[in-house]
Amino acid sequence: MEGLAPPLKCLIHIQASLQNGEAVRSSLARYLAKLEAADPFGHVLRRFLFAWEQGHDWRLLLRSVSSSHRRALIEVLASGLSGQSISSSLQGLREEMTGACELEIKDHLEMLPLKMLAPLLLFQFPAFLLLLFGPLLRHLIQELNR
Amino acid sequence: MLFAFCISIFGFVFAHRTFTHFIERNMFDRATMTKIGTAYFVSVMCALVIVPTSRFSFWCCVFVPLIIAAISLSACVSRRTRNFQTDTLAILSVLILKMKSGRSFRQSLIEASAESEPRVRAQLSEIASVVAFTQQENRTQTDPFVRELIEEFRLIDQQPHASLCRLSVFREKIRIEDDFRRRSGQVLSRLRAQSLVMCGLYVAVFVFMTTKFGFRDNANALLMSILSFSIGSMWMWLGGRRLKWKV
Repeated sequence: MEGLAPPLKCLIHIQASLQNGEAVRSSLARYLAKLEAADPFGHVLRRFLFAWEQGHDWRLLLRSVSSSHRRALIEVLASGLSGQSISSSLQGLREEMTGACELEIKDHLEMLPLKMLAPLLLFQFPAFLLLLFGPLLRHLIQELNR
Repeated sequence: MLFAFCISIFGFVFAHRTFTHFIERNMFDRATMTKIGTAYFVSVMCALVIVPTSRFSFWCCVFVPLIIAAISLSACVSRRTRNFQTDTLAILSVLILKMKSGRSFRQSLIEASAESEPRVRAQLSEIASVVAFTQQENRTQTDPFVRELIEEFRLIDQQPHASLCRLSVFREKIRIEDDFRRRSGQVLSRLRAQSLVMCGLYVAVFVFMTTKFGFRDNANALLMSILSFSIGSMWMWLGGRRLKWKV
C-alpha cells in the first residue's frame, strides 16, 4: 500500500499525457510498457487493450474486476480509445478516486491498533513474559531447593 | 581495555579513509559523517564497558566501525532513493524558473544540477549527461522513477516548443504522486514505528536480564523468547507489506 493506488497512478499518467498532446492509445501503451509484468491491474489493462484492438467484447473483462473505480477507469479509457474527449471524465474520476483512497487510508489507520493486537498478544507478550519470568522463576526454584 | 581501545583506533582510521572516499564521491555529506562517527564512538565505548575484555571484545572494537559503515551506507542509499522523487520537485521548480528567464532546457538542467545539494548532484549530472547524449543507453539506472525522469527529459529536450508546458505537467504529476505516497506511507510507518519501539524495549529488557541472571543458565527460556518475539516482529513487518489497495 506504500505508493499510489494502481488505477489512480494510471489515471494521472494518462491525464498528464493528454495534456502533453498525446493520444490515449499511445499514452496507455507507454504506461503499460513501464509497468512490471506481474502488476495485476497492468495485466487487466493489457487484456483490455488487446480485446479492444482485436474488436472483441472488452466488457466481458469488467466482470473479473472487483473494484468499481477500476471498472470506471477502463470504461473511460474505452471511450477515449474510440475517439471521444475524456479530459473532463478523467478529472471527475480522479477526484472520486482520490476521495476513495483517502477513505481507505483512514480505514486502515483506524484498524491498525486492532491488527497490531494479534502478533502482540500471540507472540510478543509471551516473549516478554518468558524473558522476565523465565530466569526469575529458575532463580527462585534454585533458591527454594537449597 | 586500553589495548583494545588502541586497536579500535586502527578500525577508526580505516573507516575514516572509507568515509572520506564516500564524501569525495558525494555519497555522504560531512554532517552525516559526524553522526556516523559519533555512533562509532558510542558503540566502541559500549562494547568496551559491557563486553568483558576478551578476544570477542577485541574483535568487536575492530569490526564495529565497519559494520556501522555498511549499515549506514545501505540505509543512506535507500533513504536517498526514497527521497529522490521529493528532491526532484525542487529541482524541476528551479528548471522551470530558469527556462522562464530565457535559458534553454539543457543549459537550465546543467545549472540546476550544479546548484543542487551535493547528495543529488552526482545523480543529476549523470541524468543530464544521459539526456544530452541521447544515443547513450542507460543500463545502470534500475530505479523506475529515474528511468521515467530520463525518458521525460529526453522528450522535453526533443520538443523545445512544448518543453515548458511538459515540465509543468510533469512537476504537477510528481507533486500529486509524492503527496499521495506520503499519505499512504503513514499506515506502514506507524506499523514500523510501533514495532521498533517494541524491539527497543525488548533489547533493553534482554540486556538487563542477561547481565543480571546470565545467558547460559537461562539459555532455553531466552532462546524461546527470542524466537517468539522474532515471529511477532516478522508478522508485523510482513503483514504491513501485504496490505493492498482495494480502490
